[in-house]
Amino acid sequence: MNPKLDRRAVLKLLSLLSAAQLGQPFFSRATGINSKDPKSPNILFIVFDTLSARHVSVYGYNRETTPNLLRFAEKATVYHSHHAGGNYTTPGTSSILTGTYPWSHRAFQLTANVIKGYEDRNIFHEFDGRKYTRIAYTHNSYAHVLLHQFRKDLEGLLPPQALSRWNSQFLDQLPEKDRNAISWAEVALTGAIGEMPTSLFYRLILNSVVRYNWVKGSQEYKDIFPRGIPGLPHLNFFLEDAMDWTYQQVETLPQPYFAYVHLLPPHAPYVTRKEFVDIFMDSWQPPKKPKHIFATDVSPTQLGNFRRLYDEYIAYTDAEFGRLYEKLHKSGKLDNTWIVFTSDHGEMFERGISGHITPTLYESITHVPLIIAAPGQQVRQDIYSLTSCVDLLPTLLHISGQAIPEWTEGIILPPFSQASSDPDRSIFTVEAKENSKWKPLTKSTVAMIKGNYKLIQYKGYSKVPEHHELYDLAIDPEELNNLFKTKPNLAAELKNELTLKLQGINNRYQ
Amino acid sequence: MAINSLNQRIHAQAFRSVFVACLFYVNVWAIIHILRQLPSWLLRMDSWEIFGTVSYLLTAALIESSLLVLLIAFFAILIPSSILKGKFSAQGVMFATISTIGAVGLHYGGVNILAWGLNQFLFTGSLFILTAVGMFFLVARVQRVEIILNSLSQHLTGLSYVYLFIDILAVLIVIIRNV
Repeated sequence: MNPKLDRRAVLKLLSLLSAAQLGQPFFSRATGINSKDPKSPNILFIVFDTLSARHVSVYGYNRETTPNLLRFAEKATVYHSHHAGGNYTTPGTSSILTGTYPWSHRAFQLTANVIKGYEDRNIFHEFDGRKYTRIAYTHNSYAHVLLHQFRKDLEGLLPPQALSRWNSQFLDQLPEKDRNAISWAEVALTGAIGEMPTSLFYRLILNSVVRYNWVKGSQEYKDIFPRGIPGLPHLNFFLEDAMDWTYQQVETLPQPYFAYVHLLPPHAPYVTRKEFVDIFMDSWQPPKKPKHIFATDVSPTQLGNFRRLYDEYIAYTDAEFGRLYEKLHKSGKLDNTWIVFTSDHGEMFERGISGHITPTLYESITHVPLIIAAPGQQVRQDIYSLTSCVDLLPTLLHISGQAIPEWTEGIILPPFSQASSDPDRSIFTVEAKENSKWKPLTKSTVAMIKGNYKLIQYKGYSKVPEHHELYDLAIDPEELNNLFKTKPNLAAELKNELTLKLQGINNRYQ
Repeated sequence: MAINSLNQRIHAQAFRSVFVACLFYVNVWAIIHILRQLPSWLLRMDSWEIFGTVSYLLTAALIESSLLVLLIAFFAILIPSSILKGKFSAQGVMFATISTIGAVGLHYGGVNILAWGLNQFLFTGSLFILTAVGMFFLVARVQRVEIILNSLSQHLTGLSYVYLFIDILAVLIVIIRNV
């Protein structure tokens, strides 16, 4: 028996099953599809989780991590100062999908979803379902919680396990209907966010099964993935499968379509494919940075190793994106398709901090890539003005000829807007994992960038009741020289603007 | 015939005693940790979502308790009746107790099974089996231990039935949420 054929059959079956579970077939609106205008452009929106622009060679990183992305960028618009809305999946993805900052949609805690009232304020809802076929997939269960919240505006939504090789999470098999409560129960049962599990035995047994599957899978595929098989502990997958699935959707979806594909790599664990193992065993060293007050117990040597593993995983991710792009390019599928390439947040290996679950908002975490290729675009364009992930919703609606809702906090990105970009515009990134969803922001970190200057405000932490940092990103892109005390007038002006902004936001929750 | 043999080994009363112990241990652990985490849930979930989440967690506790007692009954069937000597109740409570102590030890010891190698699995498994066998013979030979375990189970009965009632309510809520 051919295992590949077997697997495809299983994947198809899973698609049907999950669609049946949702009570809405992948392309349920048959009458709507017939009336769709095939001349409207398709939009393929690809999000690679945890991809820091500071590690992407297209943006000048020292290691050549993304040669394929560079090839894509040569016929696209490259945004050089694009920023995430949050520093991990939930707020970052919510801001992309709702076109609002975390202080508005309020999905800023682990496994959280957007507040009621924002369930209909999302990109899928705004894309006219009578005109567009809207589908979504993510490997990331936190992002899936959000997509599931928006499912009534999707013709197709696959659960994460649909494109996985091994899924050891029993609760994923339960019906999708009560997904939010199931997701939280899953986290509580397994103690997935560092708490003690509420189950006495489940986590011990589950983790034993997970470990067994991982060891078995890693043995089976050690020639391809010598560092182990990719994925999260409970869900292992190959990026290759997701790329093939994406191409299959592009080939078969009724046009025009809006397809949101959110892939986990290069999120940890950094387990690259064989040909990328040790490609960055070089002598290059990033700039030394002082240890932060929120530093964890990780040494500079470990940080260097993690950075190298991450960079090698990016190279693999880039190769797979390149494979997809090549196929799309050759097939002529790009003639009427916009491709959006971005990430929900970055990753950091500096100041004694590794990863992205941190109260800090340095550029490694907030600066993410954004590259948009218009149908048939042949010449590269570079945009250096400040942009935010909240701008994607209005921009994509604009380029597809649809109305832009008044509630979005974003703007139409240059060069698609007739108006020139506002040099006084401020953009924000918000971290508020430990703040109540229903109360004013009293324990949070907020980064505000205006022009060249970036103000970071820490508030309400026991370690740091209140602290500010100010950097000039034009002359100090590594954020080493805190100007908050040396430029008091500028610091006061920016702090005042941020305070007023937060007061306005917090008044809604008093 | 097989059912008769099973009834001879495991009386309904003895089965209930073991189930009571399993319910107690699993639910006490679950409720303590649900209450500990409740303040952080209040930050991110509304009351209906918390209600649903707690229902899933208590349903899981009931399933866990049931699977544990079934596992114990399965072991009892495997053991020759000449060795079990009609002491299923005490032996079952003993097994539930040492399983709970082992699980609590692993949780509070901060062990990360996801990073374990084969040797760690073998060592921990062997340690557990040796402890269980040792305790089995202790219960079999020392009547005082048997009396203590049976008495423990009797004292837990009232509270465990309250837990059982709450767990069944939770199952009903889960069903309602998914219909």
